[in-house]
Order: sequence, then C-alpha cells, then structure tokens
Amino acid sequence: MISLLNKRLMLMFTVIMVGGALVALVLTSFTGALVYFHTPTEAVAKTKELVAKKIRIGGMVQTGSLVRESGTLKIRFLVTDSTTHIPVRYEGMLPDLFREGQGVVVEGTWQSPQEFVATTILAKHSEDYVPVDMSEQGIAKSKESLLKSLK
Amino acid sequence: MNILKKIQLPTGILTWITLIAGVWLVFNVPDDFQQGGAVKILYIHVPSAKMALLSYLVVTVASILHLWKRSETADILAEAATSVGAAFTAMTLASGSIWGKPMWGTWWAWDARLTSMLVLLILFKGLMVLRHSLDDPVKGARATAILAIIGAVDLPIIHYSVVWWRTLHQPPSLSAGSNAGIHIAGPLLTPLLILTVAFMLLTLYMTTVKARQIEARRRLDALETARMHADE
Repeated sequence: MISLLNKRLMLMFTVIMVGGALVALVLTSFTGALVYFHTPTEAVAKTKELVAKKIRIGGMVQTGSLVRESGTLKIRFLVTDSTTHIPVRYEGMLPDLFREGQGVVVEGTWQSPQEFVATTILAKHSEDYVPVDMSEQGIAKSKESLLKSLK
Repeated sequence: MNILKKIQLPTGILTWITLIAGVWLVFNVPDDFQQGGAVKILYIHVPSAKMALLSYLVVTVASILHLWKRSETADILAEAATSVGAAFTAMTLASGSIWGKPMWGTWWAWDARLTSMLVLLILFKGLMVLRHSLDDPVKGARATAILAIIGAVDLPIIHYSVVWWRTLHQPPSLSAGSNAGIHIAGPLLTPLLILTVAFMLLTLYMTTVKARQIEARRRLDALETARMHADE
C-alpha cells in the first residue's frame, strides 16, 4: 500500500521531473530559434543559405561610416563586430539611439553578396547607464560591452 | 494570519516613505548620455521586473509547501502573490514597451527576454483561471500548485535569457558571478536601489492586503456553506 506521504512525494517528484525536462528541451532544441540576430561574421559565412531570406544582423555602427543622402531619408553605413563589416542601405525613420559607434540590429535581406538592404532598423542599447557629464566614459564603456556581447 | 494584520499598517507607512523618497530622487536624476530623460523609465521597469520574479518565487515556494504540508496558509499566500506578481509583470511589459518605442524603434520584439516575460504573465493569468475552473476548491488549489511548480522553469529562463541567447534586450546592468560589474554610474544608481527597496515593501504590503482579503472571503464562503447546510 502506498502511504499518503509517498503519494505526495511521488507527485512532487513527477512535477519536478516534468519541469526539468521542459528546461532541457528549451536549452537543447530551441537555442537556434531563440537567437534574435546573427553577428556580421555569421551572416557573411552563411550568405548563400540566407540569401533572399529576411534576416536580422546585430552589431555596431562603424564609426565614420554613416553617410546620409541629403534631401532624403536614405542612409548607408557599415555594421561591424570588429572583424567583419557589412555595408547596409536603408531608407526611413531611425530610432533615437541610432548613432555611430553604438549598437544596432538591422532587419532585411541580402540584395547581393556585397550589400544588405534593411527594411527595419532597431537600436540596441548596451547595459551601461551614464550621466551626460560623463559621456566620454559612457561611450567607451558601451562600445566595449557591446562588442563583448557579440562574441 | 494574525501577523498579517499586525504588519499591514507599518509596512504601508514604510512603503509610502520609501516610494516618495525614491520618486523624488528620480525627478532629480541626471539625464543619461544617450537616452536623455527616458532613462527615468528604468526606475519603474527594473524594480517591477524584479518584484514580478520575486512574486513567482513566493508562489512556487508556497505551492510546494501547500502540496507537501497541505497548508491552507501557504495556499492563501500563493493565491495572493499570484495577483501581485501578475500586476508587476504587466507593469514591466508596459513600461518596457513605452521605453522600447523611442529607444529601440519598436514596441515589441520576439527576443528571448521579452517572450519569456510574456510567458510569465500568461502563467500568472493561467494560475488565476485554473484555481476557479474546478468546482472543488481543494482540487482547484492543488492543480494550481502543480501548474505553479512546473511554471517555475520560466524563472531561470527569464533571468539568463540575455546571457544564454543574443537578444535585443540589454544584458543585466547589475550582476554577480563571472561577469560581475556595475554598469550604472553612481548618480543614476542610488535612486534605483532605493526604489528597489520601496518596491519590495510595496510587494509585501500588497501581498499582505490581498492575503487578508482572500482569507476573509474564504471564511465567508465557509459560513455561507454551513448556513446552507443548516437550512436543509
């Protein structure tokens, strides 16, 4: 005869096992799908299989690469993870935090192996919060954090 | 349950004091070098998120105690913390969206952090629905406790989502362990710490009031049932 205590222990055991199985499942199977963006290096390595597919590339807007076409909302810039640079074209509104040397996630397609055309641009904020009068330290720190997160 | 009655007023007063002090500091906080004034949203968003996770932790522990010891008190605590946690989760998602639109350029992104937090809200709501979906309140409480314990897998997923996967959401600014470091400069950090304490007190206060209300309702239900049986 199973005592009441044993029954409760069995129930708890089952619940914990099911929970553990769920975690294991998430960690092993969904890892690929849970990644929100590719790094520029990955995106270039997989250019062939990703061509014509809508993808997201995350990195840093290369300092000095941003070119605005005057009179339009068209821009061109390089997105980089410090090893690979990808030329990106975009036309439209930009988020407040979009600027050179800061994080960005571009969503769009490879037009050719040399050019990525973005349909959406999202700014990626680093985990650093710094007051205005310490801006220089802030810029350096957030660059460092961002490149670290792309490793 | 007598202790709840005793702590309610002092906790309420302390909550008000720390909340007012914290909010006053937030209005005097310097602008962030990138976000400007929008950095103030941080002071609602981060403490809310912490309290949402803390509430679920309370629900989990209370559910284990309820299944193990058949403790009615633990069940009342679980039910109370579920409502409070749902409110903080909704607050986290709403404040995050309001920050995300101007800063990221989008209200929502299906990245691991945002999605796992939405799962937490669905879990809280699911627990609230499940409890009252069974006719027998004892069975309802037990089923709710089991779902709560299974759902606890979402807690480590939320916490580590920004570390395990690349997300649009930024990694933790305050972290211990291998990647230890404080990424929030001093003048911006103090109000956050004070508001985190204020939100903890607020959570305690809200859970206390809710637990007392649930207990009173259960006592009334029991009286009602007894009276109906007496009439028969």
